[in-house]
Amino acid sequence: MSAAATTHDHSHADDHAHDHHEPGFISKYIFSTDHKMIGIQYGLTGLVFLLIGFFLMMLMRWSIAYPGQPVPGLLFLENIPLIGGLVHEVLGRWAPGGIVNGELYNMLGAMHGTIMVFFGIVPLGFAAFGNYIMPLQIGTIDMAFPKLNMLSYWLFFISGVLMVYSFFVGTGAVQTGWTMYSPLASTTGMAVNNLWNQGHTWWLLAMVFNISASLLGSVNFITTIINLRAKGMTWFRMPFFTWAMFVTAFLLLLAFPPLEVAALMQLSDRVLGSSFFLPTGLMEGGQHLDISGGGSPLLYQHLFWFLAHPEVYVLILPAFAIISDVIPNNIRRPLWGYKAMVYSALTLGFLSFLVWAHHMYLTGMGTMMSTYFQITTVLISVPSVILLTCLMISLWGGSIRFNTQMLFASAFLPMFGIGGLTGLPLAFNFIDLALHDTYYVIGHFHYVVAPGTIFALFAGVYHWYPKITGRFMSDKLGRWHFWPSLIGMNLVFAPMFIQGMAGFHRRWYDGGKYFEQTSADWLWLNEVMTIGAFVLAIGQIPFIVNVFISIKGGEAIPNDNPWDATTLEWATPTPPPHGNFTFDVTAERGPYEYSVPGANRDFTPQWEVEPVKAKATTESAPAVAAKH
Amino acid sequence: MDIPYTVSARPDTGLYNAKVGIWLFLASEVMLFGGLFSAYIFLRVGADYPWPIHELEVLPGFVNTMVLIGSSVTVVMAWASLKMRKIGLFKFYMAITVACAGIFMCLKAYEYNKKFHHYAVTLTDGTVLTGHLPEGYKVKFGEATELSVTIQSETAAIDGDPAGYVFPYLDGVEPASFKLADGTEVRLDKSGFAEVRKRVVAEAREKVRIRKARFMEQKAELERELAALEGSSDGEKIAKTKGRILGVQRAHDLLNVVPPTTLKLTSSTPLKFAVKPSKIFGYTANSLTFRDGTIVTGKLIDDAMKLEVDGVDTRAVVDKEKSLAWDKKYLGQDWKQVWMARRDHAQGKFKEDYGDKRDPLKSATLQKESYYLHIESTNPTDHAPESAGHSAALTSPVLASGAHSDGHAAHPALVLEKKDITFFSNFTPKLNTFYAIYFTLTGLHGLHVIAGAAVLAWFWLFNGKLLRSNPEHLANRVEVGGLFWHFVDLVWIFLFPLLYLL
Repeated sequence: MSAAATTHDHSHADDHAHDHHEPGFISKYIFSTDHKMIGIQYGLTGLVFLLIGFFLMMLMRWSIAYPGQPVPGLLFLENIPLIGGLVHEVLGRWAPGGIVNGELYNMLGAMHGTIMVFFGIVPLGFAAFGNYIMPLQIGTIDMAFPKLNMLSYWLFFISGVLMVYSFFVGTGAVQTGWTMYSPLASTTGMAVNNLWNQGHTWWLLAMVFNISASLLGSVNFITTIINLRAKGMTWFRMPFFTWAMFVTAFLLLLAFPPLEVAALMQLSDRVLGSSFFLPTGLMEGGQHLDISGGGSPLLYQHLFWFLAHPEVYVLILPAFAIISDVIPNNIRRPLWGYKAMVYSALTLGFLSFLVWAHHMYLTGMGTMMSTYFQITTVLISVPSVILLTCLMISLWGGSIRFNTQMLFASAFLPMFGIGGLTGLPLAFNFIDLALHDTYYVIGHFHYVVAPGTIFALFAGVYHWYPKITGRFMSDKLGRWHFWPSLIGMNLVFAPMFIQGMAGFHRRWYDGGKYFEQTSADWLWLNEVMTIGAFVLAIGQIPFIVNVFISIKGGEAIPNDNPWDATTLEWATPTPPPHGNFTFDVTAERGPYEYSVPGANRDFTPQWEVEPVKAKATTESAPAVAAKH
Repeated sequence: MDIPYTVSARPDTGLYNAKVGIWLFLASEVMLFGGLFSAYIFLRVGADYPWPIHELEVLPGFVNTMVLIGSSVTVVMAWASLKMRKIGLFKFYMAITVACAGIFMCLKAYEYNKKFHHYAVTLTDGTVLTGHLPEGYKVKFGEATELSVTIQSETAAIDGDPAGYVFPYLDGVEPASFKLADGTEVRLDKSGFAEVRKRVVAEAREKVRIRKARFMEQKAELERELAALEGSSDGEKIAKTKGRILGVQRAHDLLNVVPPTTLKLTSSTPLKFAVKPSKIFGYTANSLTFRDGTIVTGKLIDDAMKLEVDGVDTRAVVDKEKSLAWDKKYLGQDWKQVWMARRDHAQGKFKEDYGDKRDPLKSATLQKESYYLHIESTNPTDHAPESAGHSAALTSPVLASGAHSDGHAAHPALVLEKKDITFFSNFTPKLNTFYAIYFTLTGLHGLHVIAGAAVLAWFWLFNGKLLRSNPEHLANRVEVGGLFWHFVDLVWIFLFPLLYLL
């Protein structure tokens, strides 16, 4: 299969040794260039960050529901030797008496957003699943640039360390929201003699590493998909999963650089004293700042949202990718409207670059501009709706297997639906003016990414876990995971719509208690949401337990294709060895050949050379393949 | 196990992996520089000050353009030579390419360096004076005897650091010993202050500990009272005591952050400071606040600025003829005459050339020619345009300063009063948004030049093994490196007219 081999001189001793090389512990598990190990590394790191982001959110929710009351256990943690000092450095310094104060709340808010988006969901959805599954699905041995792939993970790792470290520096983590709007973010905390004492400096540095990592990752993904597809794997035989990853990679490739520009300019404003985002005559504390002025805060918002809107689709497309594999597999029917979905994903990718300013209606843009952005925003809902509708119609007439991943996948559909539909009113600027920066917006995008994307990620973990470890995850624990998660998520996010329409601002650290005269009617919902968050937290325990105990204790899978799936990743041995396939894999047909009329099994895998009609059906994949 | 298509192209796409990769990477780079170019347009269109035009020296920029275009040709020649297996020629062309990158960066360094030593001062009425600060600019402060140093023990964003942050700006006198408020003598060198700091933090912690203990004692006492009340019928008193216990507990819990301590230090000898404005938060007639939070009490001696003026820009002044620059304490009437003659000359010529066809207010070039006066000598009469026939006697109070040993021509030297200055900076990103975007664009481009040259130099010098075993693979790498190099060149081809000519 290797064209390179023809020009290599294999008589060299070192080349020979290389062919039979057994990687040592470090090169196998730490500095691995194998796409599967890198995928697992990304996955575990992403899960850890999801957990960190989740804890930050729990502290925020406590402060919202019970302002002025000490967080249970925080003082206790601070008094434990060793760990106590750490807890004190991170949180305690801003939590006198264990009470979350405004400063700490701002840090939690900014870091929750940053960590969840850039360190939790993107690494998990795109980098982890994409790295592990995508090369298998297109039938190649590895990514096009394995070393860059490794570098990408380690850059990401460094950026994660820097981001967490920012909690420990003098002024603590950054406090200006995950959007880092200038001029607030350019001037806050400038009164220091050492810039490295500011969380903001570390935030910007971490983002530079993060952006570099995703740049390397996306170049690698696209190159692999374009150039390393197996024989017969034509574009329209690629599973939708791979298509979605392809589009996501393009979004990352093209949308991140403007954020890098914005980050560099903001860094220049802070370190070199320039005025990119600072208007003339800016004052702070009654004094003119020592700046030239002449810059534009709007410029920052443009650059930021030019990234951050495509970023929304970076968060959601991997979710659709996973769901589009889980659903056909568990309803035993082809994906309805596969080509429509592919074209929708491509359209979505393209349109996502044209809608960014709908985050900026409140900046007072003219009617011309806002009309343009309203139209594109409404337009972009069309492909999103096509994607969701195709998945829903696929269910029609299927004989559905409700295993855990299918539960999560079926919950994804209405949850994402709610998230999407509540976004439509926000597309119109006259409604957005009222709802901007309220809990309505929070509810809207959390429905998209929390019960939306995160449920899809869970579905993916349950679906591919047997391929990664050779064992099933416990279905019982899975149900114990699913139901509290579903209930908890809705308890947390549904009341936000009500509060938002009642005018609750998203950055109140006391949840609106200060404005009790006007907010009293809906204050009680704060407590409901916080209880929901605790239900959600408890619901994750069975998942964590499940992931760990199933490695050794789960039920072993009967063959390499335990879900009777059709895509190429199930043609490998379990777990897939270095080099992935034991036979020369080819794609013979489309990716969703379930219940083909005339076939005597309800699935016809992509790799089977001829449809097996009269033969026994229980043979595992390599056995079928071994004949060729 | 080898990754396919690293050397030969995949038949249906016609590309080898690295080539797909580099084009994607370049697409990302286009978005990066696209973002910066858009920012340039945004800033220029929205600028609320006269956008600097024709301010950069064209010659080095032009030479750099030629150098980069030349290197783009040689990198292709290197690739072609390698394809034909003419190894010597490949190395020769590669060497030229890398040398071109070196020339480019040297010229860049020359341009940057000049800007770092050139200053612009904005006066209160909007007049901008450009020139050199022969002595730098320092705020001079004397008779300082008292220092107040704030020591943080928790959130150390600003932490008192006299040895590292204050004493470097002492003018002359060595730091003598200091007296604390309680009379003890301390030395404030690095180790001496570290000791003081350690002691102070320990004391602050101890104080907190004692207060916390006192609360606990109080709580224990209240609990005893409560136990004594147990069984009595005075419900109100029981409830009150319980409430007090809770209150004491709360006060105890809240005390978990150690507050900062401020030390008052008295010097035995009066100190003198000469400090750059960037190192201080601010000053008044009798106090000076450093950026580490240290406040020095004393007397302001001098904060005037000595500037050797090489340009006067009145474009942002409402009444240009009454600009502060023409005040008799500064440039005075003789220079004003020169400027007016030049202005009239430029406007007359514009009218002659364009008649009523162009609005003079809309010509940025005319605005600059009319309201920006470039000064090349100490003598106003040297500047008079011949047509104006101006010959005023030298009555200006301008001090003549001799020609400098470092080569630039002599200029009138002014002493600017602090009350007239609103803003000053050297020609760095701080000066205005034009220089901010100029440095960001050219700086990022320079980093790309360095990175590209490093990669090409690597192919030239350290790829002997691959050259012998698989020259085709090396040729692919050179091609990919060359594509990147072309991109770097292309960015400069956009940058040069945008920054230097438009």
